[in-house]
Amino acid sequence: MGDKKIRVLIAKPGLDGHDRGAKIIARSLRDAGMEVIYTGLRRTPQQIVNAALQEDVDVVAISILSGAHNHLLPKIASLLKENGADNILVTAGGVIPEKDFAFLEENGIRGIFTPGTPTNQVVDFIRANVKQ
Amino acid sequence: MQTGYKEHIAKMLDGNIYSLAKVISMAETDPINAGEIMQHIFPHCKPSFIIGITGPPGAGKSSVIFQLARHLSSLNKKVAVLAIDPNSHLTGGALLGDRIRMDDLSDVYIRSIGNQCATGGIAVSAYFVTKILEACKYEFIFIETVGAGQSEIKVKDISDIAMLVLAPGFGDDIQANKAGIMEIGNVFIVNKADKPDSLRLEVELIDMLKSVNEDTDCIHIFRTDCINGNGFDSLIEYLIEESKAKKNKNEHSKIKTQLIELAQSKANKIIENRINSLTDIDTLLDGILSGKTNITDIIDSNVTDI
Amino acid sequence: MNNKDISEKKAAWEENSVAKTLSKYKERKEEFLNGSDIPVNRLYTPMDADSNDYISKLGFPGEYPFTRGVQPTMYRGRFWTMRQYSGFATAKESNERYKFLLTQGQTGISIAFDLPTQIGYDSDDPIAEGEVGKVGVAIDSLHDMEILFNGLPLDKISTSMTINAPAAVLLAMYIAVAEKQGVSMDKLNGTIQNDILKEYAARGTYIFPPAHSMRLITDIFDFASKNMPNFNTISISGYHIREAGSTAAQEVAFTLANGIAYVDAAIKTGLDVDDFAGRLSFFFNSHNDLFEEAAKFRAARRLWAKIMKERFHAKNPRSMMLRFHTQTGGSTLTAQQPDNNIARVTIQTLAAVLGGTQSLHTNSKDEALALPTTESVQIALRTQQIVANESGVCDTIDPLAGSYYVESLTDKIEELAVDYINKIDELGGAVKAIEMGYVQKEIADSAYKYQKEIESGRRIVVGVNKFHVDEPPVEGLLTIDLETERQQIANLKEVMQRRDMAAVSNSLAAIKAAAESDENLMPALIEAVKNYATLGEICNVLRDVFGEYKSVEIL
Repeated sequence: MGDKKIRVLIAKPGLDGHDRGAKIIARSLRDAGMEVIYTGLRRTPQQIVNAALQEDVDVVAISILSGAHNHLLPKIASLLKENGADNILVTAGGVIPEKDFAFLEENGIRGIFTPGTPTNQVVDFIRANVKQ
Repeated sequence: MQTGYKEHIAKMLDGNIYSLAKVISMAETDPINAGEIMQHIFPHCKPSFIIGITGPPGAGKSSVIFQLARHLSSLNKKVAVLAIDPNSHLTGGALLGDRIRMDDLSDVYIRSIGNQCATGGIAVSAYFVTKILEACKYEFIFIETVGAGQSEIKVKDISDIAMLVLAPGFGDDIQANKAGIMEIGNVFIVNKADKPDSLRLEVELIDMLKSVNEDTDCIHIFRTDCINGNGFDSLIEYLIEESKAKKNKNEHSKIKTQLIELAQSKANKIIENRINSLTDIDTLLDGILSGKTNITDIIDSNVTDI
Repeated sequence: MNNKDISEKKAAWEENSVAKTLSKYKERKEEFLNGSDIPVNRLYTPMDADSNDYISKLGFPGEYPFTRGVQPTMYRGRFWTMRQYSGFATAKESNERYKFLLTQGQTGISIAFDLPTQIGYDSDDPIAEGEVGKVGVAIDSLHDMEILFNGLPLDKISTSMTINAPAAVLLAMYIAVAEKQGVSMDKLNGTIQNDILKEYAARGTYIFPPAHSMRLITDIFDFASKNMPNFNTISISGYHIREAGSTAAQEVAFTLANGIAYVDAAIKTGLDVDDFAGRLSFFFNSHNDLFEEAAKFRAARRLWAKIMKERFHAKNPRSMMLRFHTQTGGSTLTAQQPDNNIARVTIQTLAAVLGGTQSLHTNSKDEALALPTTESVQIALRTQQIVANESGVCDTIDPLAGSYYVESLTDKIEELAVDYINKIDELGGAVKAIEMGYVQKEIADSAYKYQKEIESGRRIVVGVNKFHVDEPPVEGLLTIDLETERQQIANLKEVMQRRDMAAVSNSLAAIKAAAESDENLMPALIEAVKNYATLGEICNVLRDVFGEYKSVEIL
């Protein structure tokens, strides 16, 4: 059996236009040997999940800095579950206050990476937690 | 192969997109897997029309595909897109960004693939993916690649039609591409037709094509503009006509090439597996290095039956 | 003493004193490079700055080439405008925050709008769900604007609105509110950001494709040149380009390149450069490298002056002046040990002031975590007031001038910026360069390099990759809850029910007609907002006519 590369969907849900972090993570994951699919800006949860399913990704990494995370992230996780894709590792990065971590984790988000996180930490987390 | 693949195949044939995606993943990793999958899906395959699209970065391939897919979808055709991007030689990773421009069409199946496959090469992988899509009754399959490299030329071999997208200011140094241009195909799309230079580009293109091949009747040039959506009606018409005409074409040599390639790919995998599982492999390799063992003896004793 | 003498003595110094010290311990780095990859020497001497060129390269404040400042008395006359960007939740809450800031000594208002407003969606649009009031105030109609400015006399305050794609609509609303207060357009003081090119390149809140967006911008230039002589119709921005990861030199280059594109576009519509150029303003960032930043601002002023004079043949000196607002760099602030950010913002404030800014926003310490609380925004404002009143730097103009280092940096940044602008010209201008993804790629490359430098330890961020401590989560952050969204939607429904639907329909039709023709859109927009047509309704009409922009993603 050939070694399947880890496939990661990097998603920007909602109206937030800040993509510096998303692009840096994309390059870092590529440099770590992963196949990275970037959704581009202004995607709805439905579009993100659609892409995740079609691409059979192992990880959905959501980037959000607009404060709408408590609303959008659980929606993405639950849509994945509805489609039988809850094996996909869902992570989040951006401006997310610590007090919201517990709520997000209860709702299917497994790793949350806030400003200042070194990129290799993200890579290691994915490698350690992905289900292939 | 992965457990549950039969269930996925059944679900996929029933219309489940996630299962389709999973089956494609399984086929991609190994031509032996792919062979097994083919056994199950072959009876369901209905021939599709495969459109290869290539061109320099920035010319607008993805936007053109978006417009074509949108049109075909609105005519109730089932459309899929395979977007192939290069894997990094250094890390093996890849940035697959083509679906961004096509993402708004929820009923089009889009799959991004790196061109460095586990084994067999991209053309082999792409072949199996198209077969899987055909089993799911996709009628038009776009395969998007960048440039005119070796792998892209092979992909062209599995397409029914190959189109080159050019745009003014984006790698339109046609002279530089001269050698490769006729290899791509005979349909050319001059995109960004709203830009003032596009007419000049078209003229240059025609001149260049004439210099390579006097007979320009079989060459088709379309001018498109994705921002205003112009120029696609005639292109769609042409593609639909060609898809109907496909059945009548004698493509023996093309199919034979595919047959040999696929057979080679399977053989390669079997050989690779055999060699990797030789019990005394380290001793043998030491022997070769030290000059005691003749490499051809190992080959003869292990892979002659193929 | 001439340069030859200095050179000899410097060589001797290096061979003796320096060598001696180096033999005991090395310098901290093998190579000292600043953020723009400009080598930073151990020492700068008169050899590094050509003092013969004082008149042509530096000159005098308020005179071409404006290197030393755009006003003859600078801060000896008046301090920069202390203008804290703020806005959140509903118009009522934002109004209260503005009133608070004005009592605390702020001298101008700067409005932050929420993402749905910035992208032309009403609060009840499905795509706005979860986003209403989060990063700024929600404005759905004139009704919200009226509440926002309740008790704030528009003939006495200066208002800056960070709004781009739908700037024309918000400007129309501002004019309408003023009218109700009895203030005529020509008395209005303020700025709209209205810089769509940087949206495509770095910020992401665009709506329409480039050509139509440029049309909206030139319509505003034209309208304001005739009716609003005291209003800045654009704030050509480098702030976001820098936040997206560019270097200081790129910040200058890409901003000025966009400026060139706007001037070109306006001239093409038939305007004379001196008709509008005096009202162009700029918006820059301020990061931690004090001298690079100060040099950057000086380089930008000198370069823009040259561009306006030599490339566009402006005659009026006002057209050549680069007037700018600065915001301290949000991306430099850390979530770790947030109090440290106060020290960072102080350095950045100093850099902007030494660079001669006309207006300044200082970030609050909790910037990396949430929108600021009243306490933290007060500290940010006090930082400005301390620099202004206690540091002494405002008592003379451009005090860094003549520093061998700073003048050398100023020259170098100008040089690098010119190279980039030439490259962009070769590609066909800023619009083309952005469509090709050239600018975005340069920015992303710089951002990636910066990140790698932090991860390798080459670049230190205190509290993050050095001097790290374990800390408990920060308490007391500002939160916007979903009640805001519910309330805003309820208010919107009420407004929509109370208005004259026939008048709304007619005005929307008039907008459509104007958009499809060459007619200036402003009058139709003003009419529509007065009838309480919503922002979403108006933008949807424009979307129908102009289409929507789909970005080029360069990873």
